[in-house]
Amino acid sequence: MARRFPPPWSVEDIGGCLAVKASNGRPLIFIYYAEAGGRRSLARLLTCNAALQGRCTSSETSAMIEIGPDGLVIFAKKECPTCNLVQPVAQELANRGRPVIVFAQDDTSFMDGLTVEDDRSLKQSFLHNIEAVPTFIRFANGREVDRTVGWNRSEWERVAGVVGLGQNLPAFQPGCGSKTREPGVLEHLIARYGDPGLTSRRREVGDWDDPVETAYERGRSDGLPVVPPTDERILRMLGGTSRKPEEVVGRVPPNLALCTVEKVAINAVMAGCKPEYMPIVLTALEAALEPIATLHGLLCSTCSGGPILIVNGPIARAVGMNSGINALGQSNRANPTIGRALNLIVRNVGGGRPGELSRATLGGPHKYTFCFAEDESDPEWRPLAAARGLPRDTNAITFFQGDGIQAFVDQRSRTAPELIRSLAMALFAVCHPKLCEFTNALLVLSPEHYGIFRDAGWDRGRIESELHKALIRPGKDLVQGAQGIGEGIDPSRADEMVNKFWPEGLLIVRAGGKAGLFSAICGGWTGGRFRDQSQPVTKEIKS
Amino acid sequence: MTLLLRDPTAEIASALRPRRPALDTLVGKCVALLDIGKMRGDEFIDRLEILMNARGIVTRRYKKPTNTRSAPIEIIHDITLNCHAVVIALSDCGSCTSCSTHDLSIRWMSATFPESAC
Repeated sequence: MARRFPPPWSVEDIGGCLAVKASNGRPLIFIYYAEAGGRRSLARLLTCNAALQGRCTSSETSAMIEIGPDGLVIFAKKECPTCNLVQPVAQELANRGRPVIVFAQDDTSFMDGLTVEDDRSLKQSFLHNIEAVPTFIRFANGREVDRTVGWNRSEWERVAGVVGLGQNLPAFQPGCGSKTREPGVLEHLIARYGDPGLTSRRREVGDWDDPVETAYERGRSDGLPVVPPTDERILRMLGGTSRKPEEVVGRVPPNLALCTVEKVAINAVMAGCKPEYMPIVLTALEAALEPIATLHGLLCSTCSGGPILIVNGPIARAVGMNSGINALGQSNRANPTIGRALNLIVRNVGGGRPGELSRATLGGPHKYTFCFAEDESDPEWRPLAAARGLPRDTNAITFFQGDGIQAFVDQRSRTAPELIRSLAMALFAVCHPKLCEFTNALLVLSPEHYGIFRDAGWDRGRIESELHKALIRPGKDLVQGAQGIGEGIDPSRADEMVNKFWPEGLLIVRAGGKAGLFSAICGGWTGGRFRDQSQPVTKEIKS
Repeated sequence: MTLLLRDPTAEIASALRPRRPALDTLVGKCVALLDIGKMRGDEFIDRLEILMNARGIVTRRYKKPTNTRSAPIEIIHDITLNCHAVVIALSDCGSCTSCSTHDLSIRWMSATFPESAC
């Protein structure tokens, strides 16, 4: 087994073995000539010398201590038919005075009669960037000078510098994938043996400490367990985006702290996201950081509002988002973890912790996460993102500032006009029945309710216009003090007919299971009363 | 084996700055009255303006577009250039207070008030 020691070293032949010594003279390792065959020991000696002479990098040095400066190496795994095919070739090379070291990725009993090194850790395979097996490499003076992949007689002859190899074998046979390239493996190897390229500071978890409990103790959790953000997981998460880890996404309130793609990935790991969610999480954050989204106010407000994310486009289906049964509730992995990632970013990067600058009087479960996909299965329905200006089938996310759901139950209205009146009655309750043009609202139409409109030939535009008409009431009934209730609209509007919402303030989206005449209303955050200063944001999702 | 995790935070710490010394007097000074847009904030500032003007204190009115965001930089610059002190009203709860604190702490305190203004 190779051990790595930082240079400078010195090497001294002390008779029967070599002593590699640190700069203070303390022996680091003894290499016995007869330890594992003369050639290998000699190779190790030469490798040490090569390293001492500064001819190789630290990782190369580490690798060469195993391999030696000159020689032939095969990276192989037993489960690969081509690796088994070349076994007699390796033996043939040994017989012809060209010894080969085999690095076995899976089984060291492989390749009988040859020098086989255990590389089940995949360290050497990683350090030599092995993508397929068998990989056949020639080293000279401590450096790789030639390699080939799979079995190809002429190429093997070129690398080995001999002719007439494997005469009984077919001329060519492709190899198999290296175990280093199996899903999730490479990130582990980078974390262990390479440079992960991450700049966030490392935080140590004690040998006897539970990393999940540690996250609580350090204030990094929203109250639910978080996935520990190891380098392996972060690297895997970063694989879900083409954006560089160091790229700045924006400043996250309330501390207006710079947030990089790497910080997004760390929090996405903690939230439980999969790498393929990263483009959605990144766009959600970008949408939230648009000034018009007023994330700062939404987070710090004493009201109950929080981010509501609606995803449109093929990406929603590709990553397994739910737009059907229980779409707004617990149901799958993508919906809750994407929404949670955004809130964890606000908490951890932005410093928005409840009780500090996050000041909601009551809050609500939606402030953990509220994210779902729109049901786009009906080609006659114009999805939300399309209605808000993006081309149909664009991957997009809409950031809406809102509360948890208010269930809408109507199992008896059977015509579109009836249902419109019924929905309007429920929508009046948003914020307060007597408040108008005070906030926005999100109406989530279930399939059965939508079916009533569809059967009547009503499209999105018709539904919206009919709803707005039904949401107009006399101001005299709504002014402050009217009906014996202090709350209400400004008394100066008593003689007006007042709409509950501004024309752009009612967002309609389709979601839900096929059965049930039950829809949902999400009241908007009160910051929406500044009509031109706080609005929902729809943004295209890019990689 | 020791587990190493990465820090999910912005890795920043709050900076503590000494408070600016209070003005010896407001007479002859210019005080900015910044209405953040909360309900009835204008009533409060109207009253304050009357009381200050009656005492010989010059005032200068400003209004934020919304209390839910920090103030536009143009407003901050104008106040910094032309006023000796500021009253921000009415920051009474969550988002408005946080944003007002930003207006004061992040931008304001680092700015230099002029020796003479108005």
